[in-house]
Amino acid sequence: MHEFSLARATKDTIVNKYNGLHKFIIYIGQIQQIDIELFKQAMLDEIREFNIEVYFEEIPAKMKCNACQHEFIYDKTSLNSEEQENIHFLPEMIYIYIRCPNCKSNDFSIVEGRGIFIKPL
Amino acid sequence: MIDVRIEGMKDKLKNVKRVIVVCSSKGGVGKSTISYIISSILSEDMVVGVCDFDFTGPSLHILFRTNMSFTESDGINPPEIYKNLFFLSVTFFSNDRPLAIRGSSISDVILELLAITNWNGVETLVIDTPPTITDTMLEILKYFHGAEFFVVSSNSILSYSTVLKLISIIVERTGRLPILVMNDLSGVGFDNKSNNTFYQELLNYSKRTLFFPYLNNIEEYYGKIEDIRKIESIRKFKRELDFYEKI
Repeated sequence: MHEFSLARATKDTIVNKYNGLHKFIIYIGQIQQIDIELFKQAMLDEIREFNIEVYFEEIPAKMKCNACQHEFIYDKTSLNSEEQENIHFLPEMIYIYIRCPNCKSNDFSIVEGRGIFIKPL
Repeated sequence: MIDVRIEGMKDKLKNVKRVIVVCSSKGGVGKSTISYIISSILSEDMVVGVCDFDFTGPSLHILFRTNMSFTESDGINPPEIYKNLFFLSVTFFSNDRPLAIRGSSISDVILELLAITNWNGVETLVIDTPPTITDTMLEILKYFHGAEFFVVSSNSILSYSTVLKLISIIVERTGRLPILVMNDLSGVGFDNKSNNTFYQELLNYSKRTLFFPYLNNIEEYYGKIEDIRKIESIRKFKRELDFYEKI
């Protein structure tokens, strides 16, 4: 599971970039498809020895088609487990497995819901 | 807001001592072949990782003739496709299906891959890049400031003139001259271009030049790492490569 790697990277970011701050919100993009509960637990383990408080918010994925301008949400129901797993590891694989529901183009942009970001509170 | 993958990438790469970026502003000059051969010969003496950063046109898996994929534990572990040689490619995730992505997504692919990949024991990382001076090169220049850039040119005036521009950008961004790798793709050598202004300018500008030998039947050597290592002209190239590392 790369949730542990991401949790460690999140802790390192807090410690190295926000030294002295203690309360953070962690935004988790839906396309990342990480196991949120596992990530939360890994994160709590990582910060156990630090005086840090974290909150989590999942950001739904939103896409916009560059061909027809249609906006759509990330629907993984049409994907098999291998395709979902590939997107889990490398979210840009979405451009292989997902099409604009309006015009079927794979030339779209991820407007929201990609990556993991930290913001101090 | 800060993207957590930057710290993740630093952590995963912290034990890699040397990064070689094989690049060119011109396509078809032999970058992937040179990445294949450099990683094959360096892994005789040390643990090497090789990454195919040509996300839309990956080819190293064909050169290495491998369909091995990663294993998973606290991130992904690149497969050891040959003794002391570890390999990373987007084909692990794309199943070699076509991928078309805009430049803005290139940064995400690079960051994501490097933030989750365990380079356990890897001392030298060889990165094969796509042609042109666009997003992939710019991201590499941003994250691998201390890397050694091996700029590849073929024996063509068009290649000389575009490669000069890439060298200029690398010097501006890193403050250091890259190593110029002159690839004798046609087997006629470089003597016939010795009077060409671009050629002279290139050699004068780059100062550190390696001449990569003409390989008549390179496709026969795909996936034959041991055989590649035995080719006399490749052994000579390796000695020159070792020499450049020491100076």
